[in-house]
Order: sequence, then C-alpha cells, then structure tokens
Amino acid sequence: MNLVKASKLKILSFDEQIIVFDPNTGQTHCLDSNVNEIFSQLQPNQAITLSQLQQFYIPEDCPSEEKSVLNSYIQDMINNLLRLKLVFAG
Amino acid sequence: MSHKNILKHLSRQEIDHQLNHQGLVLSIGPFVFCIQSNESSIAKNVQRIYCDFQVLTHDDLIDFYVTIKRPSGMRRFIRPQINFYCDDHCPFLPLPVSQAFPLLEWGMNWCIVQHAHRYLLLHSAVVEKNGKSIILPAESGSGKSTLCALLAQSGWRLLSDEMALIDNKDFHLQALARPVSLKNESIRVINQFDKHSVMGEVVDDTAKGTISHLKPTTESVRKMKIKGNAFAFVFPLYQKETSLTVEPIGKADAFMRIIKNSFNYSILGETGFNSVDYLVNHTTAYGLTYSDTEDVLAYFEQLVK
Repeated sequence: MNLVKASKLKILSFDEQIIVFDPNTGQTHCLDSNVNEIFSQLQPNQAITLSQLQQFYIPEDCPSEEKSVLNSYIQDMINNLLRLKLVFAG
Repeated sequence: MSHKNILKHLSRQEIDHQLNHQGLVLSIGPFVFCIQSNESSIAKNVQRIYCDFQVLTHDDLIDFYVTIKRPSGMRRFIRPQINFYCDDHCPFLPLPVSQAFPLLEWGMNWCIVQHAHRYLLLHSAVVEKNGKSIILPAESGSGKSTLCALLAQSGWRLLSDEMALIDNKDFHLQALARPVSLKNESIRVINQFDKHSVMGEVVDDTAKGTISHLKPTTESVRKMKIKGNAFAFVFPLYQKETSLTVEPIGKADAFMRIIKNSFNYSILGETGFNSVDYLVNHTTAYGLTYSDTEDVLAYFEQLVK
C-alpha cells in the first residue's frame, strides 16, 4: 500500500491531541498527537509504503511481540486517517 | 450627515407611523435593520425593549429589510397568523399572531446568521467586566440566557445574549446587545432578581415554551460600538440542586466545543479555523455546573478580578 497525505493540512499541536484542518474537505478533526509523527513522514506528492512507515517507527531489535502490537497500532492509525481522507492509498 | 435619534425620544404615534409605512430604521450593533409591521404588539414591544437604540433614516445604509405581516386570505381573520419576511423572502412557516415579536427576534437572528460571515458566529452569550469578555457558549436549555440576564442585571456589560460575533480580521468581539430571550421559569427568576428589570410582553405556547424579552441595559446599548477582548470561555450548565463546580477544559477540547457551537464555521473554512486558533490560544476555557445564583455570580466576579 502506497501512502500520501492530503495537501495543505493545517495542524495545531496541543498536549496530547492535535487539531487538523483539511482545506480540501473543510473538515476539522481532533486526533491523538501520535498522528503528528505519521504526518511528519508522509508527503502529499511522494508516496511511501506502509511497511516503510512501519520500519521507520519500529527498531530492528524490537521483540516480535512488541513489533506486532506496534504494527497493528500504526495500521489502525492509518486506517483511521484513510477513513477521514487525511491520507490516501494508491 | 444623517439625522440621528434615540428611539425613546419618539412618541408611540411616530413609531407606529414609521413601522406602518416606510419602516423604522434601527442601528443594532454593526447592523442596520429596517422594520415594517402594522401589528400593535410589534410597536409596543419595540418601543419598550429597543428604547435605547439609535434610530436612523432611510438615507443610511440598511443591511436588512424585515417585515412582520399577516398572510392574505382567511388566515388574516380566523386563528390569525403572522409571517416574517427578509427582503420579501419568507424563510419560516407562519406562526400564531400572538408570537409576532418573538418571530421578529428569531427572524433578525436568522438574518445575521445567514449573512454576517465577516464574523465567526457562535451560539453564545457574551458579557464583560473590567475589560474582560467572557464567552458563554451553550445549547438550548443549559441556562445560558438566564445566566447572561443575571450578570447583565448585576452590572456586567451585555455584549450579546444569542450569538458571539468574532471579527475574523482582528479577533475582537463585536457587541450586539439585543434583548435577552428568557424562557419559562427564567422569566420569574429574573423578575424576582431585579424588580426594575424591563420585560416585553409574555408570550405563551411558542415552540420554546413561554417567552419574554429582557431589555438590554442602557449602558450596554450605549457602549455597543466598543469591541470586547475575549478573556475566557465558560460552558455553563444549570443543574438543579447541585453545588458549583468548575472544570478546566484542554485547548483541543475547547477548540472542538467552540466549533460545535458555531453557526458558520463550516462556511468560513480556513478563516474560521484561524479565528478559533486565535481564540483558543488567547483564552482559557472552563466547564461550569451551577444551580445557586449567588454562587455563580461570585464565581464570575472572581474570574475577572
């Protein structure tokens, strides 16, 4: 799965949450601040794969059980962002 | 230079004449309304409740031409009804003629909400003391108007009962000290709280129950051109027989609660986002639950000390 983020997003960061305004849809979302790290790796015009994204956040020496939890956590976040149209899959 | 006057200097006969013919032109905050109606209840309530407002002439720039009149046909006579028109457009279903003045007030709200997009509009009361404006966003039934009336009758400046107008350019609050719409039990509460409060006629059986409008204080109307600075958001909730509790609200939650209470955030797009961003970063936000009048008034005094 190749991922790009929506263009021209405006993001406000607060303690544990971020507010994201998407000018493409006019929608405003309140999300967990961890999403900011996902956004920092994604570009609107250059796709990266889900596995590249997962590799970025999960160290190689990570125990397999923890790795599985983190993979699933990242997958959930991406699914949510796809549903909100803040991220697109190609 | 246009002739300017205050409504209380006009006789009832003059008010009737203007309402019945070309229309009575009133300056209401940043807006100018031309009101036409030959209903006596409109004249009576306008004279009583809008007495401190400035009367303009037809040479002034008018934002909204509004009319309250009976429909033609049998309904003029049998269980008579009344319609609201803005520039000949009739946005609502007709109501019983006894509800003419509340319909005028609702119609004027509609005009502002539909057109005033140079402001971020929040469903909210706004009051001010010591140069600090408190924004009270709330849904119907939360006790917002009662609280707003209590504060206004306690010496606070009323900026607005029904909607906060935040200028999208400088983020100041534009005052719109129109009558406070009181419902049901709150009419008695305010009458008891301040025996000198001036109310319009009491209208029963509206969609919102029994309604009466409280005249804004003369001082609030006189200062309507002075903009306010947002100091805090307080989300009030009246709950019978509870002690006063105040909970701080985080900025992200405050942001979402503000846009939930906005009439036009989705229309404004990025402009609205920037306005809410400014507000959230320059104010603090609280959730307030209360039942006792003295306690809640003391809380607000403390807040702006």
